Amino acid sequence: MSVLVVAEAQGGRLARATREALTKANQLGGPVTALLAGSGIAALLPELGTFGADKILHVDDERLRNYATEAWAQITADAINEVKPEVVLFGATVNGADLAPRVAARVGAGLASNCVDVTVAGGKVTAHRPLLNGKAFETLEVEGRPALVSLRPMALPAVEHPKNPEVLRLATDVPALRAIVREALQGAAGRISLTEADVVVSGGRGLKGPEGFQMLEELADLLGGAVGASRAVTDAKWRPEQEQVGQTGKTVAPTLYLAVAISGAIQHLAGMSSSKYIVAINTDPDAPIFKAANYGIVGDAFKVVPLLIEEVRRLKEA
Amino acid sequence: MSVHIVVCLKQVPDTEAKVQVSGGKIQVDGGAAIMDPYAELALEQALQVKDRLGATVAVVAIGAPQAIDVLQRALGMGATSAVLIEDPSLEGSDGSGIARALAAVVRREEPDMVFCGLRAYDDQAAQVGPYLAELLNWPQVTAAAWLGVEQGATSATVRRETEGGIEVLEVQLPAVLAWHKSFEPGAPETSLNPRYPTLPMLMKAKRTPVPRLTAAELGVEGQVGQAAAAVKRVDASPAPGRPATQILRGDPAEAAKELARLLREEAKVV
Repeated sequence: MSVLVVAEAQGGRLARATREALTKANQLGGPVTALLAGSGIAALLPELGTFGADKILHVDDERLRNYATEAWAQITADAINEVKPEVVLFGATVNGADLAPRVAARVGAGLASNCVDVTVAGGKVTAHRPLLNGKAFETLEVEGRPALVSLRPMALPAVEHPKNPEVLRLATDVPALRAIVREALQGAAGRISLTEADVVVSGGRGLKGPEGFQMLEELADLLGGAVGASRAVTDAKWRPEQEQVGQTGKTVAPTLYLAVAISGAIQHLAGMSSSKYIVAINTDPDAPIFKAANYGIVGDAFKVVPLLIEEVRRLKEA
Repeated sequence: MSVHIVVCLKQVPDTEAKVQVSGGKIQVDGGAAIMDPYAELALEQALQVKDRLGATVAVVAIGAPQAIDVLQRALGMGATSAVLIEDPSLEGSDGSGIARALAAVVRREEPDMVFCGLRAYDDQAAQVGPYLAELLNWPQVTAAAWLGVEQGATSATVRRETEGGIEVLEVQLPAVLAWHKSFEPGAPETSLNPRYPTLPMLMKAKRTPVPRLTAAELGVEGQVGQAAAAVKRVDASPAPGRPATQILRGDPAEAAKELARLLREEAKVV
């Protein structure tokens, strides 16, 4: 079952969702072709091979410095035409979600988006995805070929499957762009991106002010993770907008989500309920967050977190 | 000529309603259906343009007769016209069918911009905006959070939020914007909640008949509904249960120690 993986770069390396999509593509059987477009992307090509691309199609052009829908839609449609895959996988990242439906419309293909898994059996392509903030799941069948599927980041594992891929330049063109990035205001450099992190340490109003987040930053650094925040915190401007986790913030699915002094309103849960392990620390035993958590501590975050930091440090040094 | 905006609305189940799944069917209990929260952000942004520039705002929804509630709410908030696409033949449409029906309305309305939510609460598919833009052959900006547009302008400034940060784009009009957050026109760092309808306007909206359109009237027969869909649901299942919450007992030091142990041995993040 030949698969085209539409790769994406984030923070100077392959996006996690791309590594996960390549892993899934290999499970589906392959051959696996990866498509990567951008400017100055040569350094990313080997990683595509590491995660199992049999063939790489790339486009390297100064005009592709920033993501642009119309450029990527043309490039992807041209790649589909060239490779004639049975299945096309996208990451359901912000840009992946921008691109996949446009490509589906352009090439007249069906798209199952925001999925947590895709399966091929008996020639049928089915995809599985959450509905209603994860209260139910549905299985979709995608008819017609190619079948397009976009995969939620961190729903599937990324496993190395090293190959020595053939690398080819895709014959394509960059169309005149009608939506152009004039300025890119990057998030805080150096810290791992919230949506790529294995660990998110998140704080709520109960931390009483921005200073309360210092200990969360320390814990996040120790665990190699990112800091998140509830909407109440970002509205109060204790933390930047980009750290908001929730319905109108980021959706994250890390291995560990540590909710510190967060009550657990529905809108917040919507952004993190797919996390593998959820741990809650809150003084209120009735806080809704405890119902969503695997482990909970009813207690004062200002006492518990510093002690947790000490314990984690002790375990790491042992 | 004032700016004209079409806003695509959707009626979805209350986000707090309980959901049950059995025999592959999903049942949502309790609570009145609501205007999808992301669509509501999009509507608020359109109404901001109306407040500033005197724009006209046409709202459209596809649905069963009760979808009229979200259209009336929108009129109560200040939308200037509404239309309901009501046709049983649209049931089972995939993203393509929905976008085609909406595109037909957009072509009639000839707006400068189309706003929609980035995704909808119920299916989170996030397909309508980009699909619609491709059908119309317009540029698109998704994950929009802030808009700057002036009367008579041929382009607009839009801020979008990606995982890496904020991008500021210049987009030629007409364009499709799919909204994820809503910031104040005059203050791009200040988030803006959707306004409430005023009671007099809501009462007036409920007395105003909302025109309905069928697939035939839109010229999309055969392009919508189950038969035209390339993506179909074949099963549904309940959410996998999370194991019961374990509350870690003891004083803060004991609880912290146990948690650290679990983070190492169970979650394997230490």
